[in-house]
Amino acid sequence: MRAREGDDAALAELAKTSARFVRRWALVQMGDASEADDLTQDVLIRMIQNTDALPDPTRFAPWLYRVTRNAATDRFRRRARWRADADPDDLVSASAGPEADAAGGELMRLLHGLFRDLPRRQREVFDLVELQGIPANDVAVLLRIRPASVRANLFKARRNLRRRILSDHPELAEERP
Amino acid sequence: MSRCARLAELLTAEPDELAARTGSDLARHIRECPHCTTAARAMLAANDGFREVLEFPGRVDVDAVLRKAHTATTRSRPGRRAWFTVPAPARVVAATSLVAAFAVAVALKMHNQADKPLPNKQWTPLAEEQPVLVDAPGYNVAVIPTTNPDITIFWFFKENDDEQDVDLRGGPPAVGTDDAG
Repeated sequence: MRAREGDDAALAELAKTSARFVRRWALVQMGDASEADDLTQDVLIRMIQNTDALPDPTRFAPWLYRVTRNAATDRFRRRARWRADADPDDLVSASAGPEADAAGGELMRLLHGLFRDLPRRQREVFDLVELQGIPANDVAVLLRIRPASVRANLFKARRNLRRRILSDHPELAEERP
Repeated sequence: MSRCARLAELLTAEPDELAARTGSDLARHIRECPHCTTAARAMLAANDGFREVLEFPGRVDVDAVLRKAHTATTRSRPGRRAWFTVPAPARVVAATSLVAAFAVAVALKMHNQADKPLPNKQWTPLAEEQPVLVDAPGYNVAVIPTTNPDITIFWFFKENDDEQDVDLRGGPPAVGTDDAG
């Protein structure tokens, strides 16, 4: 990999390509758009500054996913400490991201809220399996959990989301024919 | 929309079933039941919405990130694994192990030092001392070591010297040995 050998142009290209994936993973992990942006920057900077740690291309994506997840875990720890003193209203307003404004207003805000309310593990399993179509067994390897655990989390995530959609937002069926 | 008894099955169904693209019994039912058709449509629409939300590129300026990263001089050494590539629980385990190993090392060192004298005290094992040869015709001699290595008590006595007991201070006397000198 040229980026690992110090090729700046290759590294820049790698960062630009990775940014899209890292940002998605970061949003899944954090559930909050602005925190996802911050986390994405942190992960990219660390990746660029530690080219020696880059694995070979076949293992790059799982490696970067775990780097993002570890960084998110650290942020959760810090946020948990901060939340003890935070105003709950601030947290609600902070969670509304640019996705909602840019991609469809109220409906996107609604979906973002539904997704954010899932537990972290359910969010990432739902994204990887349901939305991205990655096989459950591969996700189990990526997340280092049992395949049965992947399926259980997917089951819970689907049920949680769909139950709320049906009970609170039946208009979704009409919004997108 | 929620009038069908089979609606609960939709809550955990595969997307292909919701889209009625499979030949399963549930897929057939979704095709035929207007309530479930509407519900399945809402669920699939929500999935499309989730994808849109997650695929939004955000506000990350990659060029700025590159500039920021290049201005920093920190680079990991070759062959060294960056700390952030290690899962957080593993970092906790590693830190705990280090602390435990350090505690064990300290305990072992303290244990080993327990048999040694305090600092600044000269100590010579008895076995390595020069044997004492005392020539005292007509007397028995008791050689009594003391805690001070510079002081040794030589006790000359006869069998019938008196009736007092000799206090050997916690150990048999080291009477002159034959293998000396």
